[in-house]
Amino acid sequence: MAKAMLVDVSKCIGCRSCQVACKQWHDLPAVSTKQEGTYENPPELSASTWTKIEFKEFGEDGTFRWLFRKHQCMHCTEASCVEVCPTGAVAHHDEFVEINQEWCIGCGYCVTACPFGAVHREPPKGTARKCVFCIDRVTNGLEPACAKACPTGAIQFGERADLVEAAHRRVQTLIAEGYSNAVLYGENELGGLGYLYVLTDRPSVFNLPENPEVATSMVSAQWFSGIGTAVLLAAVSFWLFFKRKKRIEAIQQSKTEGGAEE
Amino acid sequence: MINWGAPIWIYLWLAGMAGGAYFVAFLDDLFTRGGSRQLVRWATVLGIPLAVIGVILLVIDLGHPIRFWHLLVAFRVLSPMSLGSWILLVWVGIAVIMTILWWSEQPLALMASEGTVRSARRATRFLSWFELIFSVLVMAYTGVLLATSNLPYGQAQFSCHPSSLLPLPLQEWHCSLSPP
Repeated sequence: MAKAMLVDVSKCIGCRSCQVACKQWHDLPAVSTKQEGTYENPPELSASTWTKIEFKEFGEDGTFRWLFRKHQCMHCTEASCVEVCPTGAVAHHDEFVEINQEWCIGCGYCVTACPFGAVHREPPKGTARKCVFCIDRVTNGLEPACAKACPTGAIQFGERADLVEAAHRRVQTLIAEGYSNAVLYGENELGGLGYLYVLTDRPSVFNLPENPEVATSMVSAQWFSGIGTAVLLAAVSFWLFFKRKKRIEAIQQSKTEGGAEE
Repeated sequence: MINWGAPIWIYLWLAGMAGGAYFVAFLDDLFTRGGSRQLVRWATVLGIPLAVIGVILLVIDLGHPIRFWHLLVAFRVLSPMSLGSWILLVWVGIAVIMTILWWSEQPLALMASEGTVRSARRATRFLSWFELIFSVLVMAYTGVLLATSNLPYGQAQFSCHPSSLLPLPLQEWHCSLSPP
């Protein structure tokens, strides 16, 4: 049975326990940051920050609204990083996407291919790194560190089918409570994500792509157009060459004819 | 976030020059019925160091340069980078073989029989067509590689480098599909 995580943003209080738990379990170094006028910290995911809470602040006419969303690798079924990896270091292990740190050459292709910006490659390691779904904990019957640390139950770990069902029910409740744009994200996106989200608003409000695409979705068309352009260039120069040759021949012929008349 | 810097775009230029020089020289030679044989030779010989320097830059840019050989024990059809590393290897390999065959033309004419000389020339002719195909691939694969990503549009414009052979409208259209 496929495991998954369910993030219910309506239950998140932005305490960032998940961030701390992730850093501690995976022994990731702290990042030195600057105060930028928000409680959001660190400002972005990196090779040493595999999960973080994204803060969104909305203020209209004296009202104030705060949105929190946990961000990390989504463990896509149709994973762009797996597709583009030139060495096969990024691969699915069951439903989890893992980067073999011994085999990764650090080319950075998965970093640019990821539709969620979840993979990063920075010194000193040199390899691409991201959330590993706590595969060491999960395969030993424990839940991932972030889910364990969450005090409100906003991060749940369990059987995917159960979580999808629970998420649909939660979305219905949220809609009934007045969140008319509430939606379940990740059920079918990219063949189904390992992380499901109950969102209180449209995905784009939470910096999530509405229609994520696999990076290699256009790859055959790209090859075709590249090679097609070369054929076109060759054909055009061929045509121009013979046009010019014909004209030169015609000029020479008229010259010799003219010479004969004189 | 783009994490490919100066080594990459210098490589793009070098590989574009190497592949493009051969492409143009070969076509010129073809259209003039062998009138630019010397140009093809220069393009091939000069292309080798250009491509090799470019590849060295690519390897230096890796997070783990020593592990570059992992590229050459894998073959992944969907990954333009995997295909690209093989394309570069074959392109440089053929260029080296063609150069050796050209250089050995005169000594061969002195030592070997006429048949051997003729078959060596035929082999070079055959390889030169293969090299034409691979020079197109050398130029085109970087465009495919950079377009096969989920970079946001603004950064993707940098990525969709003019040295690639892809028509820009198609690149931009593809890039515009990815989320803002």
